[in-house]
Amino acid sequence: MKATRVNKAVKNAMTFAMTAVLAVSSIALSSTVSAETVMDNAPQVSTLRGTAPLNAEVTPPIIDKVENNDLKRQRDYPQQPPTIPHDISKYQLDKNFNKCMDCHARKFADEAQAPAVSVTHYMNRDGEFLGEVSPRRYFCTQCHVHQLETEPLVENEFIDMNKLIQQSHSRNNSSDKK
Amino acid sequence: MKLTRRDVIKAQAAATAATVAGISLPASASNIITSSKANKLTWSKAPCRFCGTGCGISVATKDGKVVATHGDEKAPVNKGLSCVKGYFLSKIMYGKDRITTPMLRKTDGVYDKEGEFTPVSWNEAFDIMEEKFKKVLKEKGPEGISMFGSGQWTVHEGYAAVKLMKAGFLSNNIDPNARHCMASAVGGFMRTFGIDEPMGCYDDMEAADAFVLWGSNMAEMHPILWTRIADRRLSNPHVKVAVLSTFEHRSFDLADIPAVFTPQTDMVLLNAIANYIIESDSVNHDFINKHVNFREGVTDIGYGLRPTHELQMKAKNPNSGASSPIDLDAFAKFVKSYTFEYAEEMSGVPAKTIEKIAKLYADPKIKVMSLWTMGVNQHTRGVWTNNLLYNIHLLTGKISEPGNSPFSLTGQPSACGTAREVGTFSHRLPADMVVKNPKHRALAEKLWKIPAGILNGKPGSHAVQQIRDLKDSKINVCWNQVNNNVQAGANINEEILPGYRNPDNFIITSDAYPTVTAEASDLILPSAMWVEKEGAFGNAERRTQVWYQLVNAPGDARSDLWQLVEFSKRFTTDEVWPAKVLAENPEFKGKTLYEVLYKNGQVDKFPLSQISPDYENQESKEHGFYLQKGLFEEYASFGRGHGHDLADYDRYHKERGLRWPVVNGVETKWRFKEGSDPYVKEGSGWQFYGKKDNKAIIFALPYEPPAESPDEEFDMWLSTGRVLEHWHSGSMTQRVPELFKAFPNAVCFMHPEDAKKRGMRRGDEVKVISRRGEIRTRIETRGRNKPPIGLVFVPWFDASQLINKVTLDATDPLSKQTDYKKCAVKIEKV
Amino acid sequence: MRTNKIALDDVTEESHISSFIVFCKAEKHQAVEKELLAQADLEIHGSDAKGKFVVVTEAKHQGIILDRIDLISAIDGVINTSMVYHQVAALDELDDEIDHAETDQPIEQIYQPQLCEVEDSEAPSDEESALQTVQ
Repeated sequence: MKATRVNKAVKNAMTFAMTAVLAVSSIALSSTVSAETVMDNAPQVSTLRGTAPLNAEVTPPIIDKVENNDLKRQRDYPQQPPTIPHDISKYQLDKNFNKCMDCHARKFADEAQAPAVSVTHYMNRDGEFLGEVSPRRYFCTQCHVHQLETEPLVENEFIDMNKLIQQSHSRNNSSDKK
Repeated sequence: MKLTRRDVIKAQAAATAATVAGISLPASASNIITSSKANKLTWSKAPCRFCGTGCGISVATKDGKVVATHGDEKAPVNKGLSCVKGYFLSKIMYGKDRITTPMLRKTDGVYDKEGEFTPVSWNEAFDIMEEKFKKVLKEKGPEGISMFGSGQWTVHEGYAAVKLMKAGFLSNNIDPNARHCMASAVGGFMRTFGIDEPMGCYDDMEAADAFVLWGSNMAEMHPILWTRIADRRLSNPHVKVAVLSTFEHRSFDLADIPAVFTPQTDMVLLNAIANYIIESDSVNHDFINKHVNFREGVTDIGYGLRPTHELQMKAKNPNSGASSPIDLDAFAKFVKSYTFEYAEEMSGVPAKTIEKIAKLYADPKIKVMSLWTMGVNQHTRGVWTNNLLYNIHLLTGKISEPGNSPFSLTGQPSACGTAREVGTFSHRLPADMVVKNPKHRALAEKLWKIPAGILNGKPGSHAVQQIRDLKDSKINVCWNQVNNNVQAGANINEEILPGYRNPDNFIITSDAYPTVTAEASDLILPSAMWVEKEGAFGNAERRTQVWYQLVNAPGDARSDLWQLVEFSKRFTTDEVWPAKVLAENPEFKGKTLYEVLYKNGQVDKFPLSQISPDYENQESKEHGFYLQKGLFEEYASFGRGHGHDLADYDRYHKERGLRWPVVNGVETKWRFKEGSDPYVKEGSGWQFYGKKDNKAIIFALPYEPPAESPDEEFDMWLSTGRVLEHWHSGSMTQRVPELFKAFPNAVCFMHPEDAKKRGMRRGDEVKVISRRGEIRTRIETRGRNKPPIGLVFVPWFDASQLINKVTLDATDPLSKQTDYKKCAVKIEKV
Repeated sequence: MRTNKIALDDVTEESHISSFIVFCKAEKHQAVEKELLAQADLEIHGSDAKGKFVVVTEAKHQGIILDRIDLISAIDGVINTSMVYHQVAALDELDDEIDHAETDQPIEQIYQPQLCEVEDSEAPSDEESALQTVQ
């Protein structure tokens, strides 16, 4: 099996339709088909295996580095937890110590120039405010995750609400003019 | 009224703060009017699509799209929290490769098993399915067809499916992938209590003084429940958390008592704790005298492999769940050899640590909650290990009261609600009934209004058996819904792929995305997912939650419910029921299965006018009646009055779920306990009414070795499992860019010494090889999982690294659940 | 906390709009409300009568807002003032009129998570239904 996972840029651009077309041409070459044909060829529809046939295992991508540029990323909507724009692999985060809070606690945020955790983090289960970060929010990584220097295999067509509102506005405006 | 940008920003600022504070802005205080409908978001409730925790999610929609999701402040399960997957639920439906049309393998315009996937109409898709089903039914009868679903079916879908297969096609070959997940838990409950599902509830987490995790990594797999435990532990210094696992993981970050044990020796540890409870005179004699029986189970029961397998031939009592009565003294004698010293020798956990854990159970003043999931269930002695866990809670009477709680967690959103309660297993009927029992069949026939004696009394093929039957050409048509078995099933190379690609077979897969299972199939049907349909899930604490259809599915994608009901129109009773039955019951002659199963005067009882005017409901509108309500109410009739009571369907639309049994409109938090469970008689204290004499059973069961252990050649244990960011096979979460980028590929977590010994470094490409297959991956010696020397952990979410080519298809002989947590592998550098 | 700096590349004058939750002792609710209303730059948009207020303010500079938070926190009975929302906008755009061709709707329907179907004040909350015994 020589198939490898296609490089990321190609994968990123590769649409569903294109995969199907590629597969069609590769199969068309072999006119006589045996029971193994489907399994021996690149997937026709499956998008998360690159070109590796189901019964073959190929060289996996390298372990990517963590994005570590401290640049805030766009969120899809206000309630979404921001992803972590830096490396936390050496951080202690256990019942004895929470390294994240060294910079992100509200009282240190100015000094560290880090975004302070939102006020929701100071609320307990009953919605009452506490003096410190609520223990239920203590383990930051349940919601906040780092990002590796890689590109998704499949594009996501989620549309954020601002775009939809804009679209809706322009629709209304144009219909008003009629 | 004129509005400025300032007004709108201020209104938004106020509304955001009000949401956080939990204040409803009175109209008088927020009398700011928006510019237009354009800004309006509609917020609705829905349970999360992922794990069995069952978090309530607030879902915002706008112009037919989901635009935001976050934890529902009003949901008792999660009170406004959600894990990272829950926050990104908003994006799971929008992967660019959604399947939007049926696709059939064709060559030159006709179906060909080796052909190319070609878009076809629903009509053409159903035509070929009908042809294949009818051909196989004619040649082989009901045993030749099968359906494989999951705990991700909504309650309605699972119920429609089980009815179509068992009452329509008279085939019991229907099983959920919950077989891979919860079957041992079910076996444990039925054996010890005679009734399925936990007696306690999540409220135990705010009441317990100690938590013991048996093989579970809740920090990643049930993160929101973990927040409740973290809250309890960090707010109350007296609370202790013990974490037991075969490798160190994120849950150890909260552990007061950490313990890494050798795979399979959880059974030794549990028996050692039972022994300690007895020897330290900590048995609650009053409780066990009134509420407990003792039995000794037969041993040497095999490993659920093919009967021709060497291990299976060697077993004395293969697949036997038989047991005989004993008493406390005999039980004490049975566990006497399980000393702490012996347990240390077997498990590698220091005797002192075992003692600390044992004391949490033995001390009557400590309220203790045990939690477990796949570590205990995916175990070739899974049912036994569940039994052993209940033993230590029963010996001490620590059960069914706030904080004293043996709690079996679930992995799928409706493993409880659909797979278990509806009974989509090959041996089950709704409400804990089984096909083997003639009385149960008679009741089901009556409630389903089908001819008496028509149901098939022979249990069908379970998950692993279905795969073997496909390979052996015993089953020739298989319809998959809501599962990804080519990634999730064990021993892919030797069992699954040969079964799917067997030229005798026709495989249909309904899914939202082109998974490897879809790839291995012959016909792909495009499915609506999550809030693209009305549905109901049941979580691990018996909470049934219902949601509305909030958006439409793309293209021609339709819900699994619609697919099942539509397909039933293509069969008449004459084609699928025995002539004798029809001769005796002529009123059924010539009717379609649709008429017999769904338009039966019960399921079609509720008119369209009862559907909420605010929401779409495609299936109902198409069929002309409130399909979901009719299915739910008919299904609920199985359990009402029998300990499985559900509330009226409409009530669930208003509630953030209710925990069954719901009697007189009130949910039940602790079953079997007087004062909490309406089924328990006054003055009895506890009543384990799943058993005829109201007594639960303590089982004497020994440690037995796993099906496969490391040896000289295959020198490492392999455990598989999940990671926080991906749910199960990753078919949804891998399509969310943020989740993908957080954990894009599977890796082989390994102890640095093991790597060094083999001349490997972090990031090196390696092969993980077993007797059955191999994958290629990369070594990770750092990060969240820290295996001990001699064990590697590989997550299974990655479709490009199918680790289940390596795993063993050994099962628990009683539950038929696969053991994905231990097999022997070797690691080689590429 | 969100900011909107990107939109401001070409503008000189900006305006900051923020909302806070003011949390006070329940028994001081009325007194605190009076004090808040007395401060010219604050608008109360809601309260729960048990010690929580939703307050909105606008200022030309972030520092002014922080000063106002300090002032609020100094009011007798106030336990905590938490900023929830912060948006920076171009000052000259704030008075732009926005068309409102469609039906008028209260703002809480826009951003407040609310179940469309729930007007069920009679349905028991989970706390209320806790452990009620059944006859």
